[in-house]
Amino acid sequence: MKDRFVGSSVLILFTLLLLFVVWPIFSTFKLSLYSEGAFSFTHYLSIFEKPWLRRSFFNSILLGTLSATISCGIGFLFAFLVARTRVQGKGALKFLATLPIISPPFMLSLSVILMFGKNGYITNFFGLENFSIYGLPGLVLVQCISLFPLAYLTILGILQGIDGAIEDAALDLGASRFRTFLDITFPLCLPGIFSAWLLVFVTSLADFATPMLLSGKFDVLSVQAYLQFTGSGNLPLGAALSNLLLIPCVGAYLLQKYYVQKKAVVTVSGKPQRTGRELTSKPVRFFLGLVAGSICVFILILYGTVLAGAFTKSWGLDYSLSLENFTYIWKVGGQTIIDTLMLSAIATPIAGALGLLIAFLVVRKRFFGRKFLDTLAIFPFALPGTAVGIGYVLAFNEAPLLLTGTAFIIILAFVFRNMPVAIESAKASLMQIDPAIEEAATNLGATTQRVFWEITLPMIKPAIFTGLAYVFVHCMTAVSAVIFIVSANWKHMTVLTLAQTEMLRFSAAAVLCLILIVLVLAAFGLIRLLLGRNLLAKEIIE
Amino acid sequence: MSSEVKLEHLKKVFIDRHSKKEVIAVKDFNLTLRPGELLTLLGPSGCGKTTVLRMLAGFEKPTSGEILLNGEKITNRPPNKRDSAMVFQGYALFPHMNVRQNVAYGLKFRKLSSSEKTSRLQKIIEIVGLNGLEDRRTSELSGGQQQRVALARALVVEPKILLFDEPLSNLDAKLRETMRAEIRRVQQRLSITAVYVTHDQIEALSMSDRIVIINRGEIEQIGTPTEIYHSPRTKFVADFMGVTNFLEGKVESKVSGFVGIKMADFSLNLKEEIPVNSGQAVLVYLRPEEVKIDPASAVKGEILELTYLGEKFDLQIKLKSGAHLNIRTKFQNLTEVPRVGMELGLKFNEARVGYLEMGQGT
Repeated sequence: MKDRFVGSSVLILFTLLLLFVVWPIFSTFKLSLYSEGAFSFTHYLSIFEKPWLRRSFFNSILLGTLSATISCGIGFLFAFLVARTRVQGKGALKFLATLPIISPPFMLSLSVILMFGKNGYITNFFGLENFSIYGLPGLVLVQCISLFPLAYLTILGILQGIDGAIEDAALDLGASRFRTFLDITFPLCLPGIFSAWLLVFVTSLADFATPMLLSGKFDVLSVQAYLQFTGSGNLPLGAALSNLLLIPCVGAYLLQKYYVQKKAVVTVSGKPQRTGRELTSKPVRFFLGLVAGSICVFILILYGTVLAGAFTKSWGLDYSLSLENFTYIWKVGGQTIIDTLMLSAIATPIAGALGLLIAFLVVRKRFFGRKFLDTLAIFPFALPGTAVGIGYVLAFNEAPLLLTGTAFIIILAFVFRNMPVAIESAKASLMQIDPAIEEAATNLGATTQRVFWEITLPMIKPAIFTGLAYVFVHCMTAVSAVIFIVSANWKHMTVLTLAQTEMLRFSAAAVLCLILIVLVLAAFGLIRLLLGRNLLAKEIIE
Repeated sequence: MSSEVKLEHLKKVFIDRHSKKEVIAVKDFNLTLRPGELLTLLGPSGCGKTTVLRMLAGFEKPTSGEILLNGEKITNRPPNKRDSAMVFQGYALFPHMNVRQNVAYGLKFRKLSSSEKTSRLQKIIEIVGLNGLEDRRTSELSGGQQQRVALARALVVEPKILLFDEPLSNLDAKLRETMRAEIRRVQQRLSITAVYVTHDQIEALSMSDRIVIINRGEIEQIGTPTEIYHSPRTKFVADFMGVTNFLEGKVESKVSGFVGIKMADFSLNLKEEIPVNSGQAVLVYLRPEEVKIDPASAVKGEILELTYLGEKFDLQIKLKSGAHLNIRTKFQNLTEVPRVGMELGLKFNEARVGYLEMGQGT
């Protein structure tokens, strides 16, 4: 009975994953590798023959390298200040270092345009006539602000995992605080920094929203793939460009997962006992704090600018306070907002349930293909949204799987693209639970099902809810994949934001960003409330 | 060459992070370490012994009081400017360095010629028995080997004080015994003044020159292992050193250095180690090993519980007055082993029984 449940679940999951993860990617490769009915590399070769396409490849790599390097620098600074110093205002640092994670796509770009664009207040104030934010500088600026939180969180985890006693030992043997940092703290962080670098690099490469608004003449792969695929209707070339994007992303992901993480585990040995000791002298701490503080202030200005933009009549011309943008957005985008909410609300629990099932099977059961199931289900995490979007359009354009234009295609893309988050959080939580606890329940007479519902599930509930919150947020703020599969019937807020920006209705776009943030925060608040109530109930029982 | 360390009125107050209340970890601590001795700070967890050690290393700043090394105040000197070296509880080896790099690390900060550094390194690796393992990663070593690396790393800088923070708590029982002897041997050979923190009495008894018993941030007693074991000054010390029987009594007689003490069920004639007056109330302490079974004895008790420990047996006896007595004894033949409910005669090894004044600490 139990085995039949495992067997049939595994079979169904594999079928779903083959259909909605493997098949779209396969379709993209198939299209890009055929020319005039025969297998050929024509489309790939043409990318490297045409200078403007070739440039977009190298531009993407350059942008990724710059963004990853600077983001890691900022991320390390914040993580170090939080984990290894007694700097003032840690709460603000922690908050502002994670805030950009939940900001919707386009938002920071929009803000930068409102500040440094042709009619931006900084541009106007300083009379910067020959200055243009469009291109590499703008891209790096926005990507660093939006991606350094990834580096911060990764490096913070590593720093907090280093047993403070190891640094104590170095100090005890006569090393100065700076030497301790150079000899011990920094080398032990290196695998984490490398891991963070790859993560930011991949995310920068896959980023579609920022270059869509800010790239100017600096062409990058993700945008080129989109333009070729939808704008020029050159599907095979679009597919080839998207694959060119996919290969470094998957490569960096695999390197990160199977090489760096393994190294990191070896390095951070020993149980953390004491948190790290103060590793800076007062002047150094003041200086580092000042740098981090300035970045925080800049982040606040970015958010403030969007807020101001949303309530401004016409940016650059008429700065008077107005609610017109809200009424306008409700008129043109009311239905879109409802669509977005509905699609996300449907996709989230499905992704959560499937994710939980996969995590449970992978962690607690032994069956043939277990590792493969895990890898395959996590795989979409490494895929750039552009590749997923193009894959879905190509794969589901024909009967019997004619899904283009329906809500299904969007929901499916949401589910399979965001399931890795749900899987990972459930897996991490499950692995922390000693199987002996479940065995104890079985031993007392509970059936497998009751053990799951009454013992396992309540213990991993917080992780599941957190996973769900992130899935929901990702659905609400998706753009790179969803832009290929939205239709006249089913729209998405982020696509509307892009359209408004392209029409130079910056204030309307700012309103959309604001609404998205409010919805996202509401989702997090709701989860917290649910979990809080859960905790309260626990207290009453005890 | 060995150094003297003095702790004067040392006090450490922490602020509890949640309740914001002051917690006194160490209270008016006075202690002098003699050159070359190994002194153990012994006490239950949370008694403040580790805080004292960390103040010696410079990781905690005393709230008040002074630390003197060979007469020089080092109270506020940062840890890297002190001539102390610590062997950490979890070893705290540098995971990204091999054995040699770990051991040699502290030498980087000493002004020594490179030939001197090399010879010290070789000598210390020899002493702790790590030859042939110099190029191993620390993660490839066994627990005992890691312990040796930690010891060598501290010793190689030839510190004026060597500090041990429960260094053996991560090892299994057998290895612990070996390492105990090893640490003691090396410390004596190099005659380094050392402070050793532990909560394990056997460890303290077997390797210390002197033991300091600490309870709630205060010194209960300082003494050699035999003094601490055989002449505890407070009930806490007696209890911590394995005494399980405490009986209230009264001094009835005093004759040529001996006092007769009467308790509810029997009387004992004990050596007068603490001056007492006739009629004074005292607390008699008895180790379970110092009670023997003697059918001829007039002191009788009933067996309540009997626990088999392999070589020995633990018995819980109820005396006529209702007081309970724990005894630990051997039986020559298994046929001699009594059963629960049987009555036994008891005899006491008076030379090994002591008493405390009633009042403070009892």
